[in-house]
Amino acid sequence: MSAETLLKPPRQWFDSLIRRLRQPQRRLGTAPTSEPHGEIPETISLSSATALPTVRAWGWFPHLAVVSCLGLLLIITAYTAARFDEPTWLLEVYWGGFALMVGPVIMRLIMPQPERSERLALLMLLMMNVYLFKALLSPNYIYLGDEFVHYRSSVEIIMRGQLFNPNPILPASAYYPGLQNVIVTLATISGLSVYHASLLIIIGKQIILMTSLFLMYEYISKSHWIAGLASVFYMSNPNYVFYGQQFGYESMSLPLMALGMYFLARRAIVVEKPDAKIGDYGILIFFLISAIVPTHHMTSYAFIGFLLIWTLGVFAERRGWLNIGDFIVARLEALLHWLAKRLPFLRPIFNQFSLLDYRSKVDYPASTTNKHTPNTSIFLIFAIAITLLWLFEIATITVGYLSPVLGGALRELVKLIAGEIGAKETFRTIVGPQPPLWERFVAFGAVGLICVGLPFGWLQAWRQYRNIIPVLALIGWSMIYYITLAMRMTKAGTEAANRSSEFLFIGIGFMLAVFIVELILKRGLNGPRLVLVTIYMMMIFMGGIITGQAWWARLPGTYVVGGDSRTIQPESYEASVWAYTTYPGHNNRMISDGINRKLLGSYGFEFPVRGASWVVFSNGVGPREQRVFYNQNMQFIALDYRLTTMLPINGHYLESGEPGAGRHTEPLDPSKINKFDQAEGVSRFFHSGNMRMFDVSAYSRARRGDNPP
Amino acid sequence: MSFEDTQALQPPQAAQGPRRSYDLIAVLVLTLLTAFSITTLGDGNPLRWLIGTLFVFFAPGYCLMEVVLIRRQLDLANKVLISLALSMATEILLALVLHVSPLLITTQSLFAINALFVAGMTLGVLRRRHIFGGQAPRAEHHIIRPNAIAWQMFGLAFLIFLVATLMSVIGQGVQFNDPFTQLWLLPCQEQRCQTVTLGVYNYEYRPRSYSLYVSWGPGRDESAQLDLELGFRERWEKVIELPNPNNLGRRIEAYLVLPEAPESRYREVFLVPQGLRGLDNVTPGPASYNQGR
Repeated sequence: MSAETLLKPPRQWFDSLIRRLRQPQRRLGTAPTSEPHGEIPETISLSSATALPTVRAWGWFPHLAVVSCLGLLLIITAYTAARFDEPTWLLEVYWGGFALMVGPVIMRLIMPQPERSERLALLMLLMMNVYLFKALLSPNYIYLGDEFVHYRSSVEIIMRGQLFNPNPILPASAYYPGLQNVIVTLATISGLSVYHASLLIIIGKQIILMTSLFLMYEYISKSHWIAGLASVFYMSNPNYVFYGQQFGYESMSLPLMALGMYFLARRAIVVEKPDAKIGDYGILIFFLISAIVPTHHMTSYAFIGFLLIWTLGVFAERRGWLNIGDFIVARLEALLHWLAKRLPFLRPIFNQFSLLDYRSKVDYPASTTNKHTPNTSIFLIFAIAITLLWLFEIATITVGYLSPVLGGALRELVKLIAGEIGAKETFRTIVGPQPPLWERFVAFGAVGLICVGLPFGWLQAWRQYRNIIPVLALIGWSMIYYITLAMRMTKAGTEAANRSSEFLFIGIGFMLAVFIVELILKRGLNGPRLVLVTIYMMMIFMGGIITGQAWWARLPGTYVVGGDSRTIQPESYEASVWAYTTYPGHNNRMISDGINRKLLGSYGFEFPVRGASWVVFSNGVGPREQRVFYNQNMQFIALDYRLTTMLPINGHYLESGEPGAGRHTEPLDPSKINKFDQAEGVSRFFHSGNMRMFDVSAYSRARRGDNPP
Repeated sequence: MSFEDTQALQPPQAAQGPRRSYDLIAVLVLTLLTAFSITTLGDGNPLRWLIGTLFVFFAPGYCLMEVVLIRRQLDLANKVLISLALSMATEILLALVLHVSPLLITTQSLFAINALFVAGMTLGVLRRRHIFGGQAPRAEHHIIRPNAIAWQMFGLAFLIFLVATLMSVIGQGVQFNDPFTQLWLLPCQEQRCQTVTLGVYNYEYRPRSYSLYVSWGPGRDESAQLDLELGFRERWEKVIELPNPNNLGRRIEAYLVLPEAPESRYREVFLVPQGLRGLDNVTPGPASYNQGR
């Protein structure tokens, strides 16, 4: 770039921008039909080669970066305003900012014109802004459930110099130290704090995840157009923004799984050299499986599930069983033609969706596809073996942690099907005001749109990628979505279904993108189609946000009992810092309310005990309570007096197993906290207004001289 | 770069001769710089942040990728992705190796094992390049440089991002929801010592004056009073020696009073005697016994 260009006065570049925007817009144009990678034919590229030539490769990216960041700024404005006041119009600003942040980028990705580099850049822009959308809700403290768990584990590894230290907040997490290993390595070598190291790691993980998915989709579909949209669909999954981008072990393992899937795809379709050996990808897949297993249990199981489907696909292909699918598709097409013939009004509708005249199969050069798709059973066996080894040799505690979730889900699903239980009422918080009607509509609408789009995606994916095993595996993988929807109708199944979406959307995203690109956009992109598809994608994206976050947590604000991010306030945070710096010793066993348990267990380095919360609800401190203090070797109780001011929005004050959980009708009686002031042998050693800490160590086994447990 | 130039770009071609290993030199230099930064720069040094982050994020993964995928033609996006991901996977496994070794997980041991891994992989890359020198595709990456408008747009976007971040950080920092003052009273942790620790911490977002009262004795008839002036986030803590050893078995109280409300106790804490009659009623149960479940 010449110095002359750089020094061009602002007015001049503004004029050139206006000139560029005023150029006659070419018709959005017919989609490329002969370019499998989605390159723009020269006829619909820039109308003049002299106009800002180098912007062509960057396309609209620089301008969209400004627009998207403006959207982010609007959201942050809403966040900031909500910290001091709670006007009702803030949610409109919030959603307006969200639409501005996401909408134009999606709209550009829908168009066929962008080159590969522009699509990838837009995807990174969207990923980064969506990450900031989550991170800037609480930029100074960690605030999501898993973050406290891993913060504690990471700091403890640095302090003790060894792994597998007991974690009182989530015991199973201590036996999956993959994330902590990376955080500790970065924090110690770079000198960053654990919190800042975690922020950098999350960005790195997101880059791995989104780039892996983009490259995998592109590799198997030979289209960066499909890849871009499929990646955006993936980002629409309800767990992507808040669950998947937190400082949690799953957000470390999922990107490694995505990269493993990409390597599997590259191994299955060797493009560079038809006769190349594929062992090198195999080595890396083994390496990644070895890293995934000690990082997260659910991801290990999901990867095993995906490998199983893939292996079954290879098995079916080799035995010619895929002809059944061909038969079904042929019958379906015949049915569509019959319908179009018998009911002429359907023909234009079918034509709008390219259902009657679909494109031919993607033309992979014969020499570049392995004659027989390489078998993946060796990876499946290895993954199962190493997962079981880890589970039964090191992380045995996981069995007790996961079996109620998965077992309960399956049991309730069977009962639901058998009609023994009714469907759970969805979208309902325990007490207090309910989410706005339009949000419920969008959330349900998003699920409906996915359900409608998926079968079309399967149909077209089968038509075009029938011989590509990775695509068949994604079809099989996305089919599980309907099972998880059924599970959502049960109480126990909701948790299991929730935790599956970030895995299943890897397949769902691809199917929906194939549906959108191949059946809608490639007939020719015009204004109405562009708007329709943008609305379709925006609705699914917004549905993901609405489902993935409690409606009362969208904006920060005043204290709410049981409201996770809304409950973390400086007073609780400083109390936990005080416990770490001033209260004698660490890992003191204690009872506390929901968020203070997490804060004291992480920042405070204390040891919150579960299952003893009932002592707070009892009327006095008698022999029964004292016996619990003795048996649990309890040191202190930390309670927030604000528990007495309102009902808990998540249904419980201290823990989900407390007396009356989910059925509280009145705020906690102040006498339940005040009783500790009068109790014999109990001291109140800390008071900061709302936060009170009571010493009960007089009753603890260690204090009495018995052997501590 | 002109439009014609961008059109003239060709896809990567296979190399005709052995590759120069400047990339490996860069990795080794980065490793040495990291060693230097760990030994000489403090935790708060931005240069160490940068060097350490680059090393952890890229060095192990890049070397591993070059060893294993030497015959593959990978573009820039692929190389960045694979380096980053393999680096993280390597960190996961190396820390596990350290755990099963007699060494503790410390800065030195983590860096040493990473540096050893990088050195080993570098030798592996050199060997593989020697073997596959003629076959290994040359890395050719085409980065289209943005023009002036693009740079200005990027600058503007970055500025907006910066404003948004600052607004959010400051907004959360000055959230005036709960100004508070902490008061604590802790007993001595040693046997039969005659001291207690008393502390006050001001988080009221402004300087505050307090009157601190401490009382002890049978009828809490012995007491002391202290006036404190604390700034925002200022902390006061003192170990107080009780004059009479007999007071150890009696209740000790401390409370804060604000000058504007002298009649009411703003914060109040107390310690009770440790010898309790009621303790005789506590019958130890089995370790797993829990009334609440």
